[in-house]
Amino acid sequence: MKLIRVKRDSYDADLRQDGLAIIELAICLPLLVGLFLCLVDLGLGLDTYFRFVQVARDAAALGVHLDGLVVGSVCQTQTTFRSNGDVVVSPGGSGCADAKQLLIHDRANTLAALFPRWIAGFEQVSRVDAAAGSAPWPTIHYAVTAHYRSLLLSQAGGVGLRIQAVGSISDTGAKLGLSAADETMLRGQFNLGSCQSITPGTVLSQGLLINLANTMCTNTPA
Amino acid sequence: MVGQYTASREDGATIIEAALVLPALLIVLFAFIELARILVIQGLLVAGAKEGLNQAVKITDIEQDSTSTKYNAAKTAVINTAKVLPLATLLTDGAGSGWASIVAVTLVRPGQGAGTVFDQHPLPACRSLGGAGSIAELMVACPIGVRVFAEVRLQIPFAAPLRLRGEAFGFREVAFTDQDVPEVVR
Repeated sequence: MKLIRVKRDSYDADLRQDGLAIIELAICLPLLVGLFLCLVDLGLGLDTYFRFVQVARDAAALGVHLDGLVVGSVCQTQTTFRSNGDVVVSPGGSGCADAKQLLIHDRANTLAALFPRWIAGFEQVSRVDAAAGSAPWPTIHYAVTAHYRSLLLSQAGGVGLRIQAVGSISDTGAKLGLSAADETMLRGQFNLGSCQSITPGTVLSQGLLINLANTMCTNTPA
Repeated sequence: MVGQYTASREDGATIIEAALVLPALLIVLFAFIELARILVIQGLLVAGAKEGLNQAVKITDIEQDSTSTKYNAAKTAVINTAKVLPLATLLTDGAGSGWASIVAVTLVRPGQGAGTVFDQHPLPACRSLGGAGSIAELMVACPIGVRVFAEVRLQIPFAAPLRLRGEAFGFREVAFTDQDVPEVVR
């Protein structure tokens, strides 16, 4: 009888150990999975950040070469990448006071069209400041807030990262101008902030290409 | 008798458990090492492509007609630049004994869609001249790119080589003149 009791005690102890192991696993597994997702998320965020640093540089670089930008003009646009591959661009905030300035945003859209699907979209704000104080030339300020689809943080439109670039506009030298006809066409297409259908792939006189989107505000939000 | 070891059934179980788990652990460790190797090679390919792109956005000859000698020289220079960093580290050109072999480097130029497989621009609007008057004009609007392809020799028996691609896209730099530089800098 004694022998049987000893065996039973041992069996009970084994069962308790099993239960303990399951509880430990239940505690550790979510932590481990969470840690793994954090690492993947960090990677996605860093990748998005570095991609948009180049976007900001390229956009500002075009801005300093555009001829005749209106000092004091502010442009805001929002680009959304849908999961079906569609790109939707809509005016953000107060829209845009100078249609030509949208070409800066167009350049960012062109580069971003090559990016992977985990990037959900981005907002762009560009502003032209007058020469003042220590800045002998007008200055273009360009900021982009990129959103990526996070695995952990379920935020509508993805998690935002803000990247900024600043360039100085000299008033002479190599400039990319627009013909009067192109400028009229731009103003007509974008109507300075309202929702318009536009034709992607339109090439302007100086080789500037309108890649802004398939549609602008004509689709329902993603 | 104190401290004398007595063999028990538990010891046997431990050995069997170890025999079962150890191969699995080794496979996981091996997989992590292989993954790290692939990531290092991928990083090298992207770094090489960026080096090539950095040159491509500055060379004026890259805007020449694709049949011209100057264009081909510029293209070759860009391709060679893209190879320098990967080849100086862990990769080889063609069949070699390194971690991976570079099998192709391509320059992706706007307005050059027809022809070879790798010269196709990812943006359809940039594949042909369309309404733009010249390649130079189209290059203001479309990004130029460099792609580096490599084959990784995996350490997995009977596995086919893994093909990796590193690429970088950016816009051509508009040439500055003396007048662009503010007087305070000159």
